Amino acid sequence: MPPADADPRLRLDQLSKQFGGRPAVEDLSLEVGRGEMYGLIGPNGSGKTTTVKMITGLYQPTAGRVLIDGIDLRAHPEQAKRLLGYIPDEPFIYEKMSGREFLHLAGELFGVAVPERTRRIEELLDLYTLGAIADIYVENYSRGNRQKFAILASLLHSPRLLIVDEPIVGLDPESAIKTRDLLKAFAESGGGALICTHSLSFAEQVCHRVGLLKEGRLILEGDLPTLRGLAGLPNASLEALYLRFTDRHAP
Amino acid sequence: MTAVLTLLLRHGRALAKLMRDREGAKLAVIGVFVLLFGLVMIAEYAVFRRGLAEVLDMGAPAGALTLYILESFSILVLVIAVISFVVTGLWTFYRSSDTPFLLATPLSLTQLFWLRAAETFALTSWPFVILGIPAILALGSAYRQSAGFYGRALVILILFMALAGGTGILLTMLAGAAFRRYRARTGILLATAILVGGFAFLVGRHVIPSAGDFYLIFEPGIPNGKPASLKFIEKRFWLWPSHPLAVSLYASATESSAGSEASRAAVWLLPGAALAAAGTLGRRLFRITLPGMAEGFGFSGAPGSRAAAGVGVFPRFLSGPIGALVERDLVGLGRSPQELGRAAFIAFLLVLYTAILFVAPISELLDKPETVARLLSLDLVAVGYFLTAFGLRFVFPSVSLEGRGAWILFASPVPIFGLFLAKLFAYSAVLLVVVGPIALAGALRLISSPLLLGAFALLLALLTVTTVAACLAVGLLWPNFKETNAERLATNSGGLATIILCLGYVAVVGWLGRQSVLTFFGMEAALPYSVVLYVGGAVVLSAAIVAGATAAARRRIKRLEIV
Repeated sequence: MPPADADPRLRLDQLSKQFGGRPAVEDLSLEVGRGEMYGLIGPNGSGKTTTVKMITGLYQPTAGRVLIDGIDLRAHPEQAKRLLGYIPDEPFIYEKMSGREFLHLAGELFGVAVPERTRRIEELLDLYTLGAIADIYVENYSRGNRQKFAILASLLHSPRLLIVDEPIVGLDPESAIKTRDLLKAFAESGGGALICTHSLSFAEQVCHRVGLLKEGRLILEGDLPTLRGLAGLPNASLEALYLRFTDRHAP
Repeated sequence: MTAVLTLLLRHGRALAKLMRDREGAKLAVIGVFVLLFGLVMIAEYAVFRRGLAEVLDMGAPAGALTLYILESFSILVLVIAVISFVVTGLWTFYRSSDTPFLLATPLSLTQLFWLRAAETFALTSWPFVILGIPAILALGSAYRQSAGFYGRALVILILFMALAGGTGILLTMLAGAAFRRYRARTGILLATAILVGGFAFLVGRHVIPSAGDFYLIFEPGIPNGKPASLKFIEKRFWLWPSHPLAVSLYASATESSAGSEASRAAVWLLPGAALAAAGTLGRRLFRITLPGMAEGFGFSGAPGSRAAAGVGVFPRFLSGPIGALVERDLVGLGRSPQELGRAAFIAFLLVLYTAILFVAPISELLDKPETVARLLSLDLVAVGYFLTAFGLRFVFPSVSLEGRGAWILFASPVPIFGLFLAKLFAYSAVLLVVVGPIALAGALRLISSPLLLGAFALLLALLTVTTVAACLAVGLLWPNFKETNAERLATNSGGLATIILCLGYVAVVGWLGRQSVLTFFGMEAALPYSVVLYVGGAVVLSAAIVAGATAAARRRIKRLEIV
C-alpha cells in the first residue's frame, strides 16, 4: 500500500496498552505531520516508553492502530518499519562489532545497497567526527559515542519518521547542539519526528508541538503559544508549563 | 581478606534470597536441576560399580587393573580440570567486566588475585564432585570398605582439587604473562592449543597401554613382597602429579602395600607446593601482568595491542538482512574469547570421548553384535548430550539475547520468522561441520558397514537439526529479553525444559540406533528393511519435533513482545 501524500508521518489511533489488566496507555490519539517535530513529555511511568515501543513494533497494542505514512504497522509491519528510524534511550550496540560494521549491519537490515550506504556512512561519520574510532570494537566506546552511532544508524536509510527516546542523554554539549541541528534539518526535509524527553529546554528549542502524557492519557497538546494560553502564563517556559499542568510546584 | 569474602559471598546471597523468598517456580527449577545432577551421579556410580565388579571377577590381575584405571582416571580428571581452569581463568583473571571497577577501589592486587582464584575455582571445580564422589563410592563399595575409607577418600579428593587449582592458577598466570601482548582471543586459543597438544602427547605416551603393557599388568610375579604389575604401573605414572593421590586412594581401598613413603608424603606436599607456587610466583605474575592488560579495557588499548578489528563492509560472507544477522552471530562468537573457549571446550570433550573409543582395548569385543549395538547407542547418546550442551549454552539463549539489540532488530523490516529459520539452518550447519567428523570418526571405530554408517550419519544429522530446533523454539516460547547473561538464561525454567526435551529425544534416538544395529546383524538379508524401519522411526520423530517447534515458533512470533 503506497503512502498517500495527505497522510501524516505518524498517526496513533485510539492506541491502548494494558499489562496484566493494568492500563499503561489509554486511548491515545495523536498525529505527527510532515516536517513536524512533536515532543511527548510526561512524568516517569506516564506511558511514553510504552508508546514508543508500540510505534516501533516492540510491543503489540491491546487496542488501536499505529499508521506510519498511512501504512498500518500491524497489517504491514515490514513496509511500515522500512519508513521508520528509532533512536532508543539506552542504545545497545553489538559489542564485538566495530561502529562501521554496525552501521553497515543497520543499512543491510533496512535494505540500503552497499555503495549507497558506504557513501552515507562516510557522510554521517563526519557529522560527529567519528571516523577515528569507527573501526574499533564498540565495547571500547563511551556511552555518548554509542548514542551517536545509534543516531547515525537511525538516519542511514533516510527514514520518513524518527522516533527518538531521550536524544541527548550522554552527549557532550557540542554533540547535543549537533543533534538538535540534525533533527531540525531532518524535519525541514519533510520528515516527521516524535521526541520523548525529560529535557524540556531541548523540547522547547526543537519541537513544533508538545503533548503531555499523564497516567497513560494525553491530557493536552499544542504549540508553545497555545499551551501558554491554556495555562494563562504568556511568557512561561515549557518547564514552568509542565509543572503547572502536572500540578507540581506550579508557579 | 574481608573484602574478598564479601565479594565472594555476594554470589551466594542471590541463592539465599531465593530460599528466603520461597519463590515457588525458581525453587522448582533448582530442585529439578539438583535432581538431574543426582540422577547423573547415580548413573555414574552404577557404571563405575559395574565396571569394577567385572574387573574384580577377573581374579588375580584385578588389583593391578584397578590401579591402572585409577591412575588413568585421575590423569583424565586432572587434565580436564587444568585446561578448564586455564580457559576460564584467562577470562576471569584478566577480562572480567567488573575488573575496571574493582581496580578503582582500594582492593589490592593481591586481594583481587585471590578473589579471581576463588571465582575460577568455583566455576571449574564442580566436575570433581560430579565425577569424584560416584567414583569413590563405587570404589569403596566394590572393595567392601568401611566408613573410614570414605573419610580418607574425601580428604584425598580435597587434596586433588587443591592440586588442580594450584596448577591451574600457575599455568593461567604463565599463559597470561606469555600472551599479554596478544588479543584475548588469540591468547586463549594459543594457551588452549599448547595445553591440549602437550597433554595429548603426554597422555599418549604414558596413559594409553600397549600390548606389552597389558602383558606386564597381567604378570603374576610377586618379587620382594610387591606384585610386579603394581611396580610397573607405579613406575609408569610416577611423573604425573596425580600419581601419589591415585596410589594412595588405591592403597586405602585395597589395603595393599602400593606406594612408598615418598608418595605418601607427596599426597600432602604436592598440593601444598602447587598452592604455594600459585600464591607466590602466580601472584607476582598477576601483579605484573594485570595493570598492562587492564589498559585494554579503555579506549586507547594496551601498548602494542590491536584494539581495532572490524574494518570495511559488513556482512562480508553472507548477504541480505537475515544473512547479515547470522553473520553477526558467528562473528560475535568468533570474536569473543570467552564464548569461543567454552564452545571449544565442549568440542574438546567430544574429541576426548572419541579418542577413548580409539584407545580403549575393545577390538576383540567388536565381533559381538550386542556390544557393537550398545557402544553405537552410547556413542549416539554421547553425541546427543554434547549437542544438547552446546545448544543449551549457545542456541537456546540466542533468542533472549536479541533483546539487547531489539531497538534495531525489531524496529527494522526484518521478518522474525525468517530469522528463526536462518538461525536453525546456521547453527545446524555449524554443529554438523564441527561435530559430524568427530562423531563419524568414532562410529568408524565401531562399524564398517556402509549401511550402518549411512544410518549413523543420518541419525547424527537428525540429532543436530532437532536439537537446534528444540533449543530455538523453547528459547522463543519463553524468552527473557531483560537477561544478558547466557549462563543464567541456560539455567532458567526454559533451559530446564530444553534439557528434558532434548535428552529425552536423544535417549529415544539412541535406542533406535541400537535396535538398527541388532536387526542388521540379526537378519543378514540383502534388503535390511528393519534397519530402515528403525531409522525411519527416528526420521518421523525428528520431523515431528522440528515441525512442532517451527509451528510453535511461528505462532509465538505473531504475539512476541520485547518486554
